Amino acid sequence: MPMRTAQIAWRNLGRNKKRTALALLAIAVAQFALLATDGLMRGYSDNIRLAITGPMVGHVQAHHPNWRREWALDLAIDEVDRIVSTIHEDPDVGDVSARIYAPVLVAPEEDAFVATVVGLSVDSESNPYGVLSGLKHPLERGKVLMGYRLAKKIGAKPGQEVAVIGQAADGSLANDLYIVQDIIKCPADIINQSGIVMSLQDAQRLLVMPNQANEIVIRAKTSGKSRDITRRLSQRPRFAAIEVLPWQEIVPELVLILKMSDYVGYFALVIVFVAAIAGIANTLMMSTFERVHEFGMLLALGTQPRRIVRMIVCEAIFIGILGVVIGTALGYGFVAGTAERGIDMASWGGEGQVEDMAYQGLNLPLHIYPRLEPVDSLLGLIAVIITSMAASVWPAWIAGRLEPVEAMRA
Amino acid sequence: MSSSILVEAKGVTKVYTTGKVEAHALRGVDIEFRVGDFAAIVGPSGSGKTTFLNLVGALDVATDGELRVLGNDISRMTKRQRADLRLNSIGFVFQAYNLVPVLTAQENVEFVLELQGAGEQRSNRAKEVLAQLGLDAYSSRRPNELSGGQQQRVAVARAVAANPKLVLADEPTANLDGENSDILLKMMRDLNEAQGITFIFSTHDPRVVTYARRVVTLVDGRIDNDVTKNSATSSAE
Ligand SMILES: Nc1ncnc2c1ncn2[C@@H]1O[C@H](COP(=O)(O)OP(=O)(O)O)[C@@H](O)[C@H]1O
Ligand SMILES: [Mg+2]
Repeated sequence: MPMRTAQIAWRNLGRNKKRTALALLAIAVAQFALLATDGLMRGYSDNIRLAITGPMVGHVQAHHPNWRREWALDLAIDEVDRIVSTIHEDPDVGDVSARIYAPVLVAPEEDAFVATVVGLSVDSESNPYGVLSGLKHPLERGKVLMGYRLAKKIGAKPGQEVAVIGQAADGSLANDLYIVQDIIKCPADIINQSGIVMSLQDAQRLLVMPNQANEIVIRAKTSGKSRDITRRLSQRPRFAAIEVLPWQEIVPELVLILKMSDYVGYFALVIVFVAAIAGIANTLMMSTFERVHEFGMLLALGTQPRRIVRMIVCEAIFIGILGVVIGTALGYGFVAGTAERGIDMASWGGEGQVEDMAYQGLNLPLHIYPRLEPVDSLLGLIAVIITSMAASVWPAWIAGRLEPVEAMRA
Repeated sequence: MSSSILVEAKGVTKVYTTGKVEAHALRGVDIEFRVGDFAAIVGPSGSGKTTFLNLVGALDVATDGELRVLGNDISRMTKRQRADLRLNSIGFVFQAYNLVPVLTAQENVEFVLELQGAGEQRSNRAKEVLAQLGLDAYSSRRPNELSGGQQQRVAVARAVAANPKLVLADEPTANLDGENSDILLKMMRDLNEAQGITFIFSTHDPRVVTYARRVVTLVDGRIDNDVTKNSATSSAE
């Protein structure tokens, strides 16, 4: 019996093809927009997450307990070599890099400019997602890499010798000459703006920090392990005087941005709802009013009103599902078509207007690789089915209350 | 009460109230219809023909009086009970647009059989009825592929498919030309004679009246005349 209802409902969709097509279009466009938005937002979230957990912050960090408050050079972790090998014992840990950050002056000629010495573990940072992963030749001892914005500002070129002057951890004068090996552009904005990147050993010597570091950056082998790693390390006696934090607690603002991109998805979902309601409700109202006489005839023959209601609801759901299927195909087509090469959102801001977006010392790349999860299309489908049923309530109510004799006079 | 009485009306009145205006459509109708009747309700426009057929068909309820149809007191039935009575015991042929536009002739017949709860045999039964009435050629056509006369014949096939005791037809030939009216009425009378199905139909077409064995004339909501002919075949041919 329901089969026949479905069959009639299906055929009824063909009665006014133009109107049905319009309703389908409204829903399909909405679902497409939802998936395209989801795809872009997921791609963007991936960028943010990678930028955070990749080169700059890593998944987990270890510091002197006061480092994050005062950023003073002497708030350092001692016996870094042993700490690093202890961290490597954790099964989920991939790369470990120890870093030193120190404010200095850099002088290519007579003038001096403010800069930041970033000393880091060259081997570890040369692996994928490391700060040096894009480098052609490994960073050599006695040489430095210079952030591209700093280099532009002070007019430094590769091969040039620069003087680096600052205060060492013990209060003495730190002072040495380095060759600029290369100019770098990397996801860590602090490095682009002011970075003088050198090996950890060079930094330790320059700043008189034997076997010390300000920060240890840990990258997990797979994502989603940061809290586990944090918990295990914190429990080890060697870390009694060391603060270990997952990235979510180090950059909570960025976690917020990630959450916000989810809300954009919800907003798109609301648009799908509204478009679906408008499309389906309009179609159903019009087709119901047109068929009052026909419904009257069916009621006169003895058809139960709920049977007619079921037919209308069925029509609504068919339109809804069909529209979602079309929209899903278009949406997946869009994402599949752009996933490989990505979309350069920076170019949307006009020629040369925006490069990348810098936030909290992090450079968030605007080249987005759209990506979808199965749940994305499901949400639209559920939304549209609920909406279809909601949109059919009013016409179904009207149809269900028709008096056969009066309806047949229509 | 004899079981051969299908419809029994005593002092049936129907008043339509629209705002302050009252329309007295029926003003006390007393009449009986028996199994095998082939009756025409005639009368000028506005005389109450449609109102009377709607009451007999349990589509509406009388304002006053007593009306028993197939043993049921219509005024005491719920809406749902009346719908079930219509579905299971009464066949209907309306003036026009009898058929579901998206269903073929055969499917239209099957649809009502299915509503009545017929099982797998409904498809065969629909074919059988259409064939019996010489409509097999139309069985896979949709209403918009049929002429008005063809549509009305399919409507009759649908009305009799489940062997109802009573078939009501309100001006079934109103939109048909003379030739098609003849075909339809002959078909109805054949069904009446061969299967004993009772027909009550309204018309204001004198040509159609000639097919009736009994002619009930309504004037201004009252029965003005009720004549039963000796031989139904005497006039039309
Ligand atoms: N729904 C209605 N509301 C008000 N008046 C009605 C309604 N139906 C019929 N009438 C009135 O009742 C009278 C009988 O109508 P009807 O039964 O349709 O006559 P017929 O079918 O013989 O033309 C007419 O005066 C008509 O105007
Ligand atoms: Mg009438």
